Amino acid sequence: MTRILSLFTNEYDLARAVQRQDSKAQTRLYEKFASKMLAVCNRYVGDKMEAEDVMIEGFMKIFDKIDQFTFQGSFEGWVRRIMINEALMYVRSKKMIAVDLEYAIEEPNDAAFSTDLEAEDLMRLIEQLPEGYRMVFNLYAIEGYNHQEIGQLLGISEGTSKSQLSRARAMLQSKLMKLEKSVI
Amino acid sequence: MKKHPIDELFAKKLAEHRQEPSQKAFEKFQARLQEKQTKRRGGVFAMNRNWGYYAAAAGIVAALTIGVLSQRNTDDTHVAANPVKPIQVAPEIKPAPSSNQDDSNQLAKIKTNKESNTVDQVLSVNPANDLAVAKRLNIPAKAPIVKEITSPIEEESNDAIALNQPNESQPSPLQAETLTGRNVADIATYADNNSSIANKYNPGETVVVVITPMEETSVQSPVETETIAEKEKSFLAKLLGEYKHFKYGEKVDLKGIGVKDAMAKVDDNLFKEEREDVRDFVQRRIGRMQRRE
Repeated sequence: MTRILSLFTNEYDLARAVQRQDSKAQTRLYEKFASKMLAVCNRYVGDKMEAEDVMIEGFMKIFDKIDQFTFQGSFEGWVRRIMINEALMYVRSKKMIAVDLEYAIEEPNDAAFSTDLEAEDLMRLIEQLPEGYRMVFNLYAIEGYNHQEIGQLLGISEGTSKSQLSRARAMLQSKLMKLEKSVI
Repeated sequence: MKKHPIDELFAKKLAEHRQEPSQKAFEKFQARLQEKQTKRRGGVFAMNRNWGYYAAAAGIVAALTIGVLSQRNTDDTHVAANPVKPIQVAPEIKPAPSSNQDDSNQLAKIKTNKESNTVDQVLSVNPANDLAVAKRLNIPAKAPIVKEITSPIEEESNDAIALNQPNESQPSPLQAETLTGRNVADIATYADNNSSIANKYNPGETVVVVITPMEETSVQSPVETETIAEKEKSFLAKLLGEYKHFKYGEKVDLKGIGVKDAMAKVDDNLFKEEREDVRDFVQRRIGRMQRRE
């Protein structure tokens, strides 16, 4: 097994092996990216069990569309984008993303937050966000999409994306402050 | 552009965050992968639902190819399987008197070894007597003669020395090689002796009887060597090799591959004609011999 794993030290080599529909390479791809992609899916889906199902479907889609990979840029980035799309499709198919435009926007302040918080704590805070807020915040703050791209992905306007992001930040800030107080 | 502190915090902590999937997730993945590969294989067969017919056609083509290739190899040896073969072989048993003129030279050499030949002389029967017995009794009486040919030089030398006459019944190995190298006309001349012997009893059977001793003899002419090489080939290869010569209504000669009954089933009338032709041939030869005498 270790001999097989050593064959795919390079991402592109792995991608080429997956293009040949090599089952060992497909398993290797799963082993290499599963943990990272599960975290990505979980940030959007908000439930680990469901996120696992979404991730598996994402891998199947990767195997179907592997020929579309042009070997330009990061293979991991390409895999991540497919996983994000799969997660967004799952969330949208499950429920409509609630957008409350009448909600009063509370601009969060620029107060610094402790970096001692563990990633799992932050994951739980994101999971507590409403789905609309969670989608926009993940795409903008963590994945680096702009509001135009987010609007296209979610089928909303740029203004709605901006307001959702602002509300998500305000909500997270209040939760972080409560969390820090409880830790202290 | 400066990033928002909350965005920065979450991006820093969660961008490379990992969560280990459960074993159940891996099993699901493997199951989906297996399902996907099965579908892909099924898709190939679904595209060619008549793949069985294609496989059968490919098998037939392969069989025909093997047949053609084996046939090319048997083309050279096929001539040896024709009905003339027994007649070609016959002179080795009973050569014509004319060929025995050369024996006198050999016999002079053999005479020096006469002491070693005495044992063979005692054990063997006089060839002249054998010939006489064969004439009186039946053709199978030749069998001992053929066996004796395994030591032909010794017997021949004894008779030649004693009688100082051409030996009618026993050729030397050197003669056998010479005879097999001659043309058909010569061979036919030699065959006259055999036919004259056998004709008195049953001309139709003489040809068959002549074949039998040759199978038992240890002397192998080039023709026999080719026959043995043909026997070593597989039955299917031989059958395929013979197949191109099959024509409806014509005689099918599969004796070379051990199929004898197939001849009668093809066309009995033509087979009779063949036998009648042989009889006529033998009768004509015998007539010539009698006229000469």
